[in-house]
Amino acid sequence: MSIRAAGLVKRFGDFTAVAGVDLTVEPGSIHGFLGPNGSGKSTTVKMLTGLRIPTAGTVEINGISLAADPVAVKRTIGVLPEDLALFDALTLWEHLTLAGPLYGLTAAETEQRAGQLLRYLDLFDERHTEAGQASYGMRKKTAFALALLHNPKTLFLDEPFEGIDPSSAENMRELLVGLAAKGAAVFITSHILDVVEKLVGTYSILSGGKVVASGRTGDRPLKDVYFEHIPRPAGEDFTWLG
Amino acid sequence: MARLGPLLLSLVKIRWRTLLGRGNAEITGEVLLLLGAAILAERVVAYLPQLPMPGVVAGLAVAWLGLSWGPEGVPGQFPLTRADRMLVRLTEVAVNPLSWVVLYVSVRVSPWAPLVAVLALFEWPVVKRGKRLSAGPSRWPALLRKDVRAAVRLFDTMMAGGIALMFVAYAVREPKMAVEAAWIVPVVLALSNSNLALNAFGTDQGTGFDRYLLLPMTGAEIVRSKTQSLLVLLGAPMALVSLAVFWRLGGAMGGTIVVECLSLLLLLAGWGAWTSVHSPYPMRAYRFSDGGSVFYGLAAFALCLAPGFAAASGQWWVRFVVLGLAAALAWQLTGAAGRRLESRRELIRARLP
Repeated sequence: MSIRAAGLVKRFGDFTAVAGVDLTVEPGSIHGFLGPNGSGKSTTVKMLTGLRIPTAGTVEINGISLAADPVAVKRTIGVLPEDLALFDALTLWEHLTLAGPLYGLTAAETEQRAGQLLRYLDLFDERHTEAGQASYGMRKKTAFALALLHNPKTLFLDEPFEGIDPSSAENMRELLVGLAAKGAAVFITSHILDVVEKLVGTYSILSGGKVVASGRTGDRPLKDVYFEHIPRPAGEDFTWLG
Repeated sequence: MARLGPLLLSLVKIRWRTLLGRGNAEITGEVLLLLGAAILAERVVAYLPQLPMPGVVAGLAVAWLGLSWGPEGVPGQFPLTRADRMLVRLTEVAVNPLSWVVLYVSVRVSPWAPLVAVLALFEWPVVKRGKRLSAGPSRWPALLRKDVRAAVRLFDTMMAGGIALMFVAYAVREPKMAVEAAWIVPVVLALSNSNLALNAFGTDQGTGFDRYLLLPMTGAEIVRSKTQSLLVLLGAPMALVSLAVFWRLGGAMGGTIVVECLSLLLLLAGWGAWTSVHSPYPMRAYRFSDGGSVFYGLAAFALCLAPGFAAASGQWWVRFVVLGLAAALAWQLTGAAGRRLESRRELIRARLP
């Protein structure tokens, strides 16, 4: 199993952000992790990737316990986190050349892969911009390239398409589909149901820190399943508007 | 005016809640720093000529602009006229206690002192806007290059560089260098860079710290990388000072200063690694006061004095005892910090913006 989480709980003082999440994601699948704002999606991703410590529960990624050997897990995963996790003082290119050797790539391999990724994401000409001076979209594409650079076995992407131009988003989708076809697992959180439905094979819907539904796309329209579990607020009179 | 009332009231609330809120030792540190300047002003005021009022006004104007670090983005969202914006700006400045400290210092000492300080601290575009400086040699490891590039934009590092250069200028102009200057300057260099040492992740901010956590590095490797950067950043001005001492005061005194510098580097590296993991805080480019725990800051101050006193003692064995203790402390604390970084990562992340 690429991702196996059991009984994941995260509390911040009295507030429970994640209240016992169980997850399994198989190799070669793209899994959508959905839910409204504040449902605990990003906190769960942070626990799965070692950015936060679970209050309770266990995480196993690619057969390795995250708690027992976090560095071994990090070598096998790629992460596009919510806040992108870039160093303001490094250029976009330097982020990639910094990361490559840490994942065991040679300098030549790193430069070749970094160049390919940045060209494909339409970022190559901007590669010498410092992250602190780059636009949000440029920073996000860099974080995406960083996540892919070492050919991870499992990829975690928190809202990957938000703030990305359409052509780059399409190229990103192609890369993800290709990666999954070769056996990697892709774990995506997103608010954009249409995008997710076209991309993912399996999904989980999170609400109030708990998984309230999970299944395979294609059985029923994802929107129907989502709104069944996450009802839309309704009933207000907006005749004053417009 | 009534229309702007809620907005102005909100700005006052934001300012005071930030100032009085928990974990704002940073702002307290700045207030203490300026109060210290005010106390010094009382001491030296008799020796300074009173300068004309236009200078006071100019100094305050610049100080106000720089010190009004309020939430500029908030008023920017509202349909405000030019006059409204001016009123908002003045309110931000007026409710900032730092403005009043600057006013006091300006009046008591000299309008030009705060003018120059504020220009350097708050208004210098290279510092404030993070304009690109030298990238550093490309063969340097990227993490070191990143740390150096971020650090050279800090006022701390600029001040250390300036002090080292002034010392060299002093050595060039004065063949009979004062021995006291030789052992005091490395301590001053260490103290001026203590912010960088005590808060190693401050320049990365939270998002950069997250990247450290995502990279396949152990806590010990992360701490080691930070220590390496500190040694380069602080070692460079110290090397310059040591060379000047060798030149003017000879090998024996030069050797003493090298031992002193090594002791200072090791002490700051060790203590800094520990405090960086245990008491991180947000860091700004134009601030050189210690914004973390007061205890950790005072301890760093005391630790930095030890090699200076050892150098001044005239006893060679005292210097080597201090060096040995510094090495032992560095070894123990960097190791402990590396081990503890993993378990404290959430706390560190939560304290960095």
